[in-house]
This record gives sequence, structure tokens and C-alpha cells, in this order.
Amino acid sequence: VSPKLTYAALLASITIWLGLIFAAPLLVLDGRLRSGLFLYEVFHAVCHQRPERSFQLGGAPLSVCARCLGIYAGAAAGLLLYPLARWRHNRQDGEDAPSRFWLVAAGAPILIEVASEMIGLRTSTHYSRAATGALLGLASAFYLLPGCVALSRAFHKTREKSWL
Amino acid sequence: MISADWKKTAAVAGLVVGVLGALPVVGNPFCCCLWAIGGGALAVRAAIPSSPTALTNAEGARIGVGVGIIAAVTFLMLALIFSLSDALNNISLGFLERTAGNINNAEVQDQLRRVIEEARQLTPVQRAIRGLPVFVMQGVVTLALAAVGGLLGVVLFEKRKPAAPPLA
Repeated sequence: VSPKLTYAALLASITIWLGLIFAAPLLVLDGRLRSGLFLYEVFHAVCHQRPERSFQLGGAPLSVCARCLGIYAGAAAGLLLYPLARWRHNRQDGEDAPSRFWLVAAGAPILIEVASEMIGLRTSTHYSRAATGALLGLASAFYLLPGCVALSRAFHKTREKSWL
Repeated sequence: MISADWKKTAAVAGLVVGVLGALPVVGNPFCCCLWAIGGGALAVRAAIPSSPTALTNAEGARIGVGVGIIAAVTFLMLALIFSLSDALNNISLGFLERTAGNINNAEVQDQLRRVIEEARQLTPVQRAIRGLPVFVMQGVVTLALAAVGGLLGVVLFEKRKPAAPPLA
């Protein structure tokens, strides 16, 4: 499997995932309650879904909170930006990832935001939660794609061996 | 190269993730996806010392998938069992009621409350059958997140350089 195919599959998956996040409130507001509730319940496995921490669409909360939405939207943006960041590729096999420093640095704003809110220094807004989440999601894409490329290669090597 | 006992590590991590994810009291109020991602990453962290060479991304993801499979199966079984309990079922339906209460449309709110009330009236077996597709999807999502955790675990915890490919 070529890295491009893995890239396309990952981008398609995250786009569908984002679509489903927006689909839940739209389905409920459209009167398709069971389908909407089904999506809310599925997303409940990955998010607390507190309405007071979620963006609303047409008067209904999205099926994940603002921070989770930021993480997924950031990951989608990171995947879209990935081809533009080829300047930092030293290897051509699509399996290289940046230093772990950038992942930790991208996660630090969330920790600072949560800690400062917990000790009462400030109150977070939907937008600040989404922004810090987006930063982490954006950075994660640069690690997830090389990992998925390596995984798909390893999977196909194993399959080829099992056929021989 | 992963050492032979990675499956044991993945099984333990998967069991913990599955149990924590299925418990509505633990899994729901906190950020939930962290259980699966953290489980995958920590299983990789536990596998690193026994690995003779640096773990690769693919090996990390493999451990994550292993954690995810065990977690998804554990989650599915426990969620089905918990759906038979009235008390735990009420906790699960409570979040749907909260969501319904936050929809700015009185007509939709009423319809949703009716659907939730109907769900409350189901017998335990009917509840388990109704919940099965949801639990299966939640298990699949848990599996995917644990694999992501495995990938990120290699990035975060594997400090050794990957072995150079053999010279031709």
C-alpha cells in the first residue's frame, strides 16, 4: 500500500468522523431522533458531551465537546497540511515523524488551560478549549500518518509472507 | 522487535481500559477517550524495556491494536451486562436526558423525552438487544483509539534509535 493511499484513507476517515459529529444534532433537529440518539450514544464513548462545554448547531449540542471537536478538526487540518510540510522530510518512505518535543509542546496548552481553570485563575471558553485542542490535533496528525504508513506496510508484509 | 510477552502486557492494559470504559460512573464524566489512548500508550511503555531493539511505529500500533481488541471485547461484554442493571441503565439514559434538555426546541425536546422514556420501560433483555449496535460501535472506536495510543506511545516513550537496515 502506497503512503498516498494510507494518507487518503486516514483523511477520509477523519472527514467522516467530523461529519458524524455534526450529523447527530442535525438528525435530531430533523426529527430522526433514533439515528441522532444512536450517534450521541456512540460518541459518548469518547467524550463527556457536557452541553455547557459543547458548541451548538441549530440549537442542539454537537455530539462531542468543544475541546474534542478542536482535536479532531485540528487533526484533519494537520493531515491537509502534511503534504505542504514535505520540506522537513529526510526520508522518502513516508514513515518519518517530527521530534517528540513538538507533540509534548502541542499538548502543553491544554494542560495549562485545565490547570489554570482548576485553580481558579481563569475561565475557559468554548473557543479557547477548541483552540488548544486543535493545536494538539494538528500536531498529532504529523505522528499518526507516519505510524499508519508503517503499520500498513507491516500488515501487507505479513500478509505476503502468509501467502508464500 | 517486540518481545514475546507483549501480548500479556496488551491483555492486562486492554482489560483495564475495557473495564474503565464500560463503567458509566468512571468512563462518562472524565474524558473517556483518554482511557483507550492512555492504555495503548502505556502498554507500549511497558513493552519497551523487554524489547531488545527500539520499537517501531508499526510495532507500537500492533500493541495498541492488541490492547484495543481486548478492551473492545471486555467493554462489549461488560456494557451488555451493565445494560441489564436498572441503576446503571438510568445513569446512561441520564446523559441523553441532559442532551435533550439542552436542545432549544420544545417540540424536539418532548419527542426526545418520549423516546428516552420508552427506552426506560424496556425489559433488561430488550435493553441489551437495543444497546448492542451502540456497544459494538463504541468497541470499534475504543479499538481505533487504543491503536492511536500505541502509535503515540512509541513517539513519546521510545528513546532508542531504530536499528539500521542491513547492508545489501
